Formats: sequence, structure tokens, C-alpha cells
Amino acid sequence: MTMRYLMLVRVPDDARPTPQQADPSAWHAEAVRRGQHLTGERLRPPSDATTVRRWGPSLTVTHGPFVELAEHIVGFDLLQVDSAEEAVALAAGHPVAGFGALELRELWPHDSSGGDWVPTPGETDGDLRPGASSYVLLMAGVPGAPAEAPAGASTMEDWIAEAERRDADRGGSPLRGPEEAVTVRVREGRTLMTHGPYAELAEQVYGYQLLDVPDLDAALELAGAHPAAGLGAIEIRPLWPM
Amino acid sequence: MTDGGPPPAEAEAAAALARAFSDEWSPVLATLIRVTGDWALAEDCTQEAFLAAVTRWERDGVPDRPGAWLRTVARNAAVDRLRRRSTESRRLTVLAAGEEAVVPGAGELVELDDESSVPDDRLRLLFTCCHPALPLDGRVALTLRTVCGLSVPEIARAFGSSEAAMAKRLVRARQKIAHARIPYRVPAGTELPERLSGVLAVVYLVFTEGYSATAGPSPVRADLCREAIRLARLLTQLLPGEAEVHALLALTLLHDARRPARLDEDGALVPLEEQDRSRWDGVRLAEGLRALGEAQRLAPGDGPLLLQAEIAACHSTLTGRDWPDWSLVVHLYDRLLALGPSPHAELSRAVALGMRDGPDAALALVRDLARSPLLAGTLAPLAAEADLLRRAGRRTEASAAYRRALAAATTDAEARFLRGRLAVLDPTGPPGR
Repeated sequence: MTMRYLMLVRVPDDARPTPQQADPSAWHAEAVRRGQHLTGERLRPPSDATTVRRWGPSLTVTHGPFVELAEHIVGFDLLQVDSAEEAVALAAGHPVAGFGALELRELWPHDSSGGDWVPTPGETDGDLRPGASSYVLLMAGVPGAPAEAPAGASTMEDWIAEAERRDADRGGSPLRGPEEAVTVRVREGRTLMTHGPYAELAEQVYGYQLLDVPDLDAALELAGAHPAAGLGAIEIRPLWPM
Repeated sequence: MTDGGPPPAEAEAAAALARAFSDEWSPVLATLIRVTGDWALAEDCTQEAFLAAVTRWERDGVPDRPGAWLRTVARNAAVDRLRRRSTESRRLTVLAAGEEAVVPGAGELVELDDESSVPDDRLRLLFTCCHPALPLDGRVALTLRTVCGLSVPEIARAFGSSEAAMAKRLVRARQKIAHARIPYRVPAGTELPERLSGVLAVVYLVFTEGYSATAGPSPVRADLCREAIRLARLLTQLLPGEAEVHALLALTLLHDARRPARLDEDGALVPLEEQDRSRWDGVRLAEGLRALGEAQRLAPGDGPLLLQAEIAACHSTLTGRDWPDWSLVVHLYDRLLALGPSPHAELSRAVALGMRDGPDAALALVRDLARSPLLAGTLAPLAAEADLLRRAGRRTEASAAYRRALAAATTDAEARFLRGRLAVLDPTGPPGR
């Protein structure tokens, strides 16, 4: 049985790895060779993030990530493995495990959209066009969010149709809950595994979506129309090609 | 040539340069950002053009159209730099790949001589500087730097921060524009009202920071007031059909008109009802009322800035004993609060209510507001409570309240005013801090 995981790469603010320590290219090449790596991206720092909510009729745009943390997401990889153990082993081999943490979250695709987004193994950039502006949307649960979507809010199906019409959809999926996450660190040669997300917080990532759009305003518009903007917050992070 | 003074050519060039800096900095920069897409490069080249003008205008005379001259020089500087950059990157590409690559560069600069796009460029600049994806302090700093042409030390001084911190704030804002790809454009259709209110909020913030600086010896920073009014005036020229834009101009002018009377000769704040109305700036007042009339003509409904400008106009009557009409002021605050919650507006409404119905009617309201999260520990509700007690003739309680207010004062002018009140109420007591 194959399982698909989103691996969130988290690095503490005060980590100062050397470029060699942080270089994931050997890890990446090996993961691709084994057919376990579907796609992955480096992200611009949280200071370049923008967060949107639509908890009422109008869109609220704020500067920065959905929550300021000492450990922030610097990238992600999409893995395809045969078991949870294999995912942990793969994560433990990633260079960031040595000074940061890798949070493994199993994908939990919508029934209607589960099949069409999966990139071919090894195709690292998915369908992202060179030169276009690419963003990842991180769907987050946040305290104080409305419990249910307002009447007339767009459905997931509507949203996907609109994103495809704009040729902006580059794949994405909801994730299984943070309580099912596994976080992997390697310290002094030992693999440390924590069940649960990398930190117990009210704010957790519940899904991700890659977008390819002309600019930030276009990303804000699409993110603002996503159902998750009404039930939490969506962080828009520009990708940072290596 | 006159003795001592600079030679006429030099004086003429200096005057023209000062005028050009105030009129042309932002339009030239705005256009350069559009054609290069690079904020830092555009600013460097605009600066270079003004530097070139310093020597060339004195030597060759002031050009007929200084703006066009500056734009051309700045454009040429940009072409030079981009060409150099593209040669460098081509060399790199050649080194890396061993073959010639096509690199976009100077040739892609759009033609600049068409000046019809200048107003649009200035609007693009304003909307991009005030984009909600930028942190608020970055929006304010970027607007003052690029639209107003204030230098980094000037902006740092105005906000009581270090030059290094202010420079960093500007670099971060420009980097976010580049990295997050904030577009250089005027938002269209349905987006416009929301984004425009963000721009107006930044301009009003510049004004209020100038009008009642949050810290420091002087409570008024005239330079920030002046820049905010300039921005508001520019917006009325660029977006003449927007009521809230005219309302912002009215609001800033009506407040600024009272500036000459806000401090007494000792530097203490003078409350509105005790100000010498003959010291108000009649020209500003008249212009403010005209702008208010224009806003009302465009939209007789309720906009937050329009209502605030109407309230300011109530307080700006030059004649009459029973001014302002407190019933009208309370009514306007009710309408303002119907648009959205604001503890500051609620406090002002309570004060107006106290003037209409007597101090006792307002005391409980003001004391409640003093405990609200946004106002707790700030001077405004404490000073309002002290004033109500003073008006009610409850001298002992009023003295105690003024002492509490004095502890929350952040500027010398506020402290001087409160100490003055205390001295009248309790001439034998300790003078306070």
C-alpha cells in the first residue's frame, strides 16, 4: 500500500547551519532514485508571508505568517512511501533533521480531487512554470475562527474549478489531523520521534495548495475565495527556487 | 552680482532644484519603478538624476521642463545600470554554459516620454506602498520615503527610531514587494474601496502621529502634518470622485488649522474650548470646509472619515458662544460608532454627552472605558474623567484624578497642562511629578 506524506521542514530561528550541513541535494537525489519523492519546494521566510481570513463578508489581509513561532516552516516535500516507518526513515536522513525538525503529515485527499493532482515521481517542480510567481497556501486552524462556513460560501469543488479555469492549480491536499503527525529530529546520531506535531499549538496546518498566478493580488483573491479562509486562516508563502 | 549672496545662476538653480524636489521626486520615482520593476534601482537612479541636476542646472541653466529633464536623466541611469547588469549576467551565463544567452535588459525599458501616464504611476506607487501585505510601520515608512521624498534620517526622527532601524524597515518592505511579488498597480473595481481605505488610513496615521506625537518633548511634528496634508491633497487630484478622499483632506486641514492655538506660550496643551480662536489658521479652515462640502456633495451617506470631518467642523466654528452643537456632535458619533466599534470614538462621544447633559451623565461611561483593553492605562480616559469631576465641582476627587492622569502623560505638553489644572484646583497640594 502506498502512503503519501507532506513533510514540513521546520527550522528554529536561531539555527546557524553551514551551507554544507543544510544542503538537501544528496538527500533529494537519493529519495528521487528510490521513487519516494514526488515534489518539494523551499519557501521564502515568514517575513515574506501574507495571511488572509474571510470570517465575515470582507477579506482580512495581514502581514506575516498565521502565527509567529520560534520554529518556522522553511520548505516541504511530498513523499510516497509504503509505510509510516519508511517515511520516518526518509525524514531522519534529511539534513534539517540534525538542527531542525521534520513534521510528517499524511495526506487526506478530498474524494473528488484525490486522483488528479499527483505529480510523477521525480518531477521536482510539478507543473510550475519558470518565471511565473508561485506560492504555497498553508491552510491553518486558528483560535476564534467561525465553527461553520457562512451561507453562500464557495465549496471546495467550486474553488478547484475556479483555480483550474485560471490555470493556477498546481496540486494540493488536506492533511490528516495534527494529532496523527509524527515529528522527526536527529540529535547526536539518534533519531528522536515525537507523536504529534512539532509543537502543541492551537494553530496547525490542515492542508496545502500550490498556486501559479501572476502576482500576490491574484494569490490573495484565490486564497480569499477558498473555503478554508472562512474557517481558519490561509498563509500565502512565496516559493524560493533553489 | 550682489555682495555676499550667491551668484544669480546659482540661486536660481538652487530654488528650481528645491521646487523640483518637492514636485518631481515622487512622479519621477513612480515612473522609474514602473519601467524597471526594481524599487531599489529606481530610487538610486532618481537620486542620481537629482544629484546631476545640482551641478548641471547651475552650469547650463534650469531646463524648461525640469520634470522631463529629471525623468530622462534617471531613465538613462537605469538603462546604464541594467546594461551593465545584463553584461555581467551574460558573462556569467557564458562562463557557466559556454554559450551566449539572451538576457532581458535595457532594451525592454518602455518609452518614458509620454507624460500622460504620470498620474497613474503616482497612484500605483501609493497603492503599492500601502498594500496590506506589508507591515503597517513599513507602509508608513515607504510612503514617506517614496511618495513624500523624506530622507531616512527625517523619517527616523519623526518616529523617534534610529536611522539604522528605519533603513532596515524600508529594505524589508522593498524586499517583501519583490519577493512576494506585490504588483505595481491600482486595484480594480470591487477591490478599490477596501484598498483605498487602507491608503487613507496610512495618510491619516502620518497626520495623527504629527498632530499628537506619542512621545517626546514636542507634541506636534509639523513636518508630518504637512506631508499628510500634501498626500491627502494629491489624492484628491488623483481620485477626484472619491468622497472619503475629500473627507480626509477636510479632516486633516480642520485639525491643522487649530495647530497654532494648541499650545500656550509655556508649551502646555490648550483644550479646544479654551483656545484663542483668533489664532486659528483661517485659510486652512476655509479650505477644510470646502473639502468637506465636496465630500458631502459626492456622498451624502456615512463614511468614517466624512463623519469625523463633520465632527471636526462642529468644533471649528469661529464665532458664537455655545459652540459646538453638542447634540449634533453626539449624533455624529452615534453614526460613526454604527459603522464599527472604536473605543476612542466612544470616549469622545461620552465627553460630548457630558457637555450636552452635564458631567454626571458621562462619568460612568468614561470610567468604564478607562478599563477597556485598548484604553486602559492611556491618558485620554483618565484626563476625561478628571475634567468631568472638575466640571461637577468635585474638587478633591478631581485633584486625585488629575494626579492619576499625570502619571499616564507621555509628552511634556500634556504634563504641563495637567499640572496647570492641578495648581488651580489644589493650590496648596504637591505639584505632582
